[in-house]
Amino acid sequence: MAENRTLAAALLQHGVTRRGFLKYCAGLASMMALPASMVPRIAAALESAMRPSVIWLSFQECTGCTESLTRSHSPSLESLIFDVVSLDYHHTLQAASGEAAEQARTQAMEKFDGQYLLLVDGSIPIKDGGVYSTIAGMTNLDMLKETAKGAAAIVSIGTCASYGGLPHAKPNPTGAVAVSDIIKDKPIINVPGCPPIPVVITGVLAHFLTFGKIPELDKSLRPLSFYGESIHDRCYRRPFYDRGQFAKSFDDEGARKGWCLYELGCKGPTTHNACATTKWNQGTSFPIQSGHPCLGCSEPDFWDAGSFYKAFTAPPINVSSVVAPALAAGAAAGVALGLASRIKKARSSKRREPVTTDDLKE
Amino acid sequence: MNSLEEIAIQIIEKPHSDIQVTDNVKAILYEINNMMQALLETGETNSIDLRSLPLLPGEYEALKEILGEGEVFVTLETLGSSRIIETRLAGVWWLFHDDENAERLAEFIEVTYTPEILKSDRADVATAQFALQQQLDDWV
Amino acid sequence: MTTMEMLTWVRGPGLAIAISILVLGVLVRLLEMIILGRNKDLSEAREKNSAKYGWRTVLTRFLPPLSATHVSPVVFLASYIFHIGLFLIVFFYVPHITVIRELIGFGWPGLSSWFIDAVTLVTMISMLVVIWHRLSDKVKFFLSGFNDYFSWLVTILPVITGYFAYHRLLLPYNEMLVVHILSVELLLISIPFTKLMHAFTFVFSRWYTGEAAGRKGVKI
Repeated sequence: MAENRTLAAALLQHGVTRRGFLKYCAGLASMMALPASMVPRIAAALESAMRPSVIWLSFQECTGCTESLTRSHSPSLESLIFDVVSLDYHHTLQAASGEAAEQARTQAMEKFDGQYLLLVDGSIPIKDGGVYSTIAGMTNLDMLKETAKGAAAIVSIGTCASYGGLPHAKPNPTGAVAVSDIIKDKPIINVPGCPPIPVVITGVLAHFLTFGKIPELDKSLRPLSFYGESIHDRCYRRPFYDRGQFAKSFDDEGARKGWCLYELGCKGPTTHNACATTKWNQGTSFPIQSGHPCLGCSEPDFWDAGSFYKAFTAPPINVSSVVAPALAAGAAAGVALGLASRIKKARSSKRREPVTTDDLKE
Repeated sequence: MNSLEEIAIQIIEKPHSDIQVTDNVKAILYEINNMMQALLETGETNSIDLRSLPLLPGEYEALKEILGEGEVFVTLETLGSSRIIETRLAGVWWLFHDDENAERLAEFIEVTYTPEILKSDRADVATAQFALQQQLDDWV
Repeated sequence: MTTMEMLTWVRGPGLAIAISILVLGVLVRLLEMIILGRNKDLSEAREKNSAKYGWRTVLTRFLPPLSATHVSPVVFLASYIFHIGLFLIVFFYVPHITVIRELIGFGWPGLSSWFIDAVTLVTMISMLVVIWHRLSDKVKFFLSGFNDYFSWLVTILPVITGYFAYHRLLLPYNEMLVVHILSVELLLISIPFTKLMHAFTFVFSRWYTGEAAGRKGVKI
C-alpha cells in the first residue's frame, strides 16, 4: 500500500543518484515526447509529487496490453514508474488472489478515495446484464462503476477499453462497449492501440504523475503528444508515396526496395499513433518498417473498416452486385421511356393535319 | 533479457549502409547551426531528441559521420551506462543513454558549453562536503 | 457516429448508392435519346457514307476552335485548362487510380503526387475564372440559371475538398476525407439530372453534327 512519500524520495530510496534522476527525467521527457528543455521542470515536478495509488482493472481483454507493458525491453524506466507508483490491484500481476485480492482493491479505494488512478484494459460487455465477463462474481459493468466513483482519473488502455476493440466488431455478441460509453463524470484518457506502444502507456502515466493532471487530448480523448499525428505524416516511406512508388504485392521488387505499402492496405493515412516515430521494442521497428501495412489498430472500429489488405480508399463494396441491378433497371426504364416517346411521336404525326395552300387561301 | 543480436537471421538484401546526406540530414544540421548561433549570442542551450525524428535508413549514420567525434569521451554509470561525447563541432554534444540491460533509453544532441548532466549538483556537493568535514573532524 | 464509421459508410454503401443512381440515370437518358432517334433527313445526300464524318467530328472537336478563340479567349483558355486538369486529377492521381482499380479490376500508372497537387491548384483557379466570367458578363449572367451554378458547384467541391484533405486544411484528415467522398458522390448523383450529362452526351452531339454536315459534303 502506498505511503505518503514524494516520487523523488521513492527514487532515491531505490539508490538513484542525482545524475541518475536527471537521466531518468530525460528519458521520461523523451518518452512523453516533450522537448528536452522540459527536463528541469519534470525534475522539479517529480520532487514534489506524491506517490499515487493505482488500481488496474482487466475486463474483456486478451492481456496483450499488460504483456506489452511488462515485456518491454527497457524494464528500468517502466519498472521505475511502477516501483514508484503503488500498483495496489492488478489481477494478472499481483501475488494475492481470491478474497485477499478483492480486499486489496476495496482498501485502496477507501484509503485514497478521490486520488487513485484507475487503469482499465479490455472492453465491458453490457448485454444480458453484463454476464459475459465477471470477476469474483461481480460483472465488469458493476466493478467499473463502483471503482470509478472514487477515481481521480481513468486511463483506458488499449483499443478495447478505449473504443470497444475486437469484441465490439460486428456482430458484437456480448454488447461490448468502451469505458467512455459507461463513465461520463470522470476525466478519461484513451490510450488506444492493439496493443498500445509500451512507452506511450508509461508516458501517459508519467505525465499524470509528473504534472498531476491529464495531458492535452484530441476529440477521441487521446493524448495529442502521442496521437496527434497520423502514421502517414511521420512515415519514413513517405517520399515513396509522394513519388508514386508502391509495392504491388508482398515480396515483389517494390516491397524489397522498401516502397510505400499503400496499395497493400496500409491504413497509415487515417491512423493516429506514435508508431512511426517512437516505434516498438525501444525504437527497433514498426509494422511498416518490417514490410507489413498498418492495420489502423488505434482507431475506433478498425476491425470493421474494410480489408486489412486493400488500400483504404478502395471501396469495400462488390461493384458488380451494385451495378448489375442498376444497369438492368436503367436499361428497362430507358427502353420503356424511349419507346413511350416514340409512340407519342408516332401518334402526334398521325394526328397532324398538314396545311395546304387551299387552307391558306381561305 | 537476451539481446536481439542473438537471434539468427539471414540477410537476403542488405539495406543501405552507406551514408545518405539527404535533405532531412541537411535540415537537422541547419537546426544545429541555428542553435550554435543562439548559444554564441545569448548563451541559450538547446537539444534535439533523436527519438522524435523519423530518420530513413542511412540518415542516422550520415549524421553520426558528419558530426564525428572530438576530444571528450565521458562514461556515466548510473541507471545503466551513458556515453557523452563532444562531436567534431565544439559545443555540439551527443548523449547516448542506455539502461541496465544495455538497451537504448534515449539519445540527444545538445548544443551547450557543458551538458547539464555532467555538472556536479550543488546539493550533492554540500552533502559530500558535510561528509568530508565529518571525516576530517573524526581524525582530529 | 464516429468518423471511422462515417468513412466506412461513404466508401461502402454511400458509393454504391451514388454509382447506382448514376448508372440508372445515365442509361435512362441515353436510351431515351437513342430510341427517340432523329427525324429522317429528306434531302439528297451529297456524301452517302456520312457516318464516318460523325466519328471524325467526335475527335476533331477536342481541338481548339482556332478561328473563333478571339470571341472569348479567357473562357476558352480557362475551360480547356480545367477540363484537362480534372481529367488528370481524377485519372492520374494514384489514390484515385486505386479506387478505380478496385471497382473495375484494372488500373494504370499514375503521375507524381506533387505534380497533381500543382495541377489541382491551377484547376481551381481556372474554375474560379469561369464562374467570374459567368457573373460579370452581362449576356451570360442573363442566360444563367440554377443548372449552371449548381453544376459548377458540384464540380468544384470535390476539387476543393480533395485539396484541403491532401494539405490537412480546415478539418482533421479523416473528417475532411469523409466530406471529400460525399462531395464526389453528390457529383455522381447530379450528373444525370444536370448539364453535366454532357460528359456522356458530347459523343452523341458531336457525332450528330458531324454526320449531318458530312452528308452535306462538309467535313468538320
